[in-house]
Amino acid sequence: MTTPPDPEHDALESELADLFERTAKAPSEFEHTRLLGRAENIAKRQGSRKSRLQLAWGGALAAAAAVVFLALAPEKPKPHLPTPAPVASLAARETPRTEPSTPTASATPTTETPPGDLDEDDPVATVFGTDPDDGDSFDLGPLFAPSDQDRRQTWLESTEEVSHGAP
Amino acid sequence: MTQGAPAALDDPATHTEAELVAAVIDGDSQAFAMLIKPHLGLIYRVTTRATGNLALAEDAMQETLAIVHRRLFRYRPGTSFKGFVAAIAVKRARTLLRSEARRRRREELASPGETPPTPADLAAANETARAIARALNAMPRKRQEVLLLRLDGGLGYDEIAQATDTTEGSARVLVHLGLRELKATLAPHLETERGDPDPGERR
Repeated sequence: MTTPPDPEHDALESELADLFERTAKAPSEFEHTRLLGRAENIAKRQGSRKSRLQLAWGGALAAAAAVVFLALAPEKPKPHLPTPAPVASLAARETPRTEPSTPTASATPTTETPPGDLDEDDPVATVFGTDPDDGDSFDLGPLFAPSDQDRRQTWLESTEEVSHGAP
Repeated sequence: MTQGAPAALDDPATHTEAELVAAVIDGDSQAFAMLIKPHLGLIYRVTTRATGNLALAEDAMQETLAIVHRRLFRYRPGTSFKGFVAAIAVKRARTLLRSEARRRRREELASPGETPPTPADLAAANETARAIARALNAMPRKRQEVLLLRLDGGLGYDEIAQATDTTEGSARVLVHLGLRELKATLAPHLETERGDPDPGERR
């Protein structure tokens, strides 16, 4: 489709085009050279489209890989949450609260032996820092029977109580 | 030669526009200089006209060059490269001018009083050029763009249509409306240019 010529329009356009031409700014030789240099610098800095695409794709792939890794990684127990305790250990924890506490031998304060009195050749003294003959410092519990001497001592004390308490 | 380095053209001056475009897309910076060289005057003219301010025009030129290079892959061979460049220059200048106007408004609100013109401003425009810039800036965006492309860029209607993504008929109508508006606004300047001392006597 061709537009019919419009002399009025053409005259107006020509008049304004002249006005624009007279008031237009043109770059000087120096500015022209500077702009050309800038164009080349911009092209160098921005590189090729291929390299820009490679950079963009590289970044996108790395991000996607990180997301996939985080999504598929095996879930580890979180350290700040308590782990579910087995029933046996729960029961063991409950026991001391229900029974009255009895003083044990371990609760009694032990007297420290001066280091000079230790037998350095005795391995027990080396480990525990005390002489094994210094008395009953450790309660080894019901699994370990007291020595015969202790048994005898206990029996003698009980017979004394009986004889004193007898009328 | 290192891997990924662009294959530079042996003599960019002897190649066609399409070959230069292909070389630039491939990373040849010298080809870009050769490709843009014939259009530097156009970029300069359009940006100084649209901004009316040399300092702003400098920024607009710089950004136009960067955008042309970055968007070169969008250029369709066979269409007007001049139109492609001019459209980017007009749009960039307009955007910078708008942001500058916003900045000035903020500054005026913060500290009332007229800002003194910079030496660049003084050198940039005489009275007629300023009047043209004012008239253009008062127009709707599309109308301003097509007028700049037509009167400063010297583009044909088909080129304007391609550059502004419109039809040739619409471009023609927009130019016509813009010309009439410009004539009304710039009447005193047109009379002065004609050398008519008293426009009232002419009938």
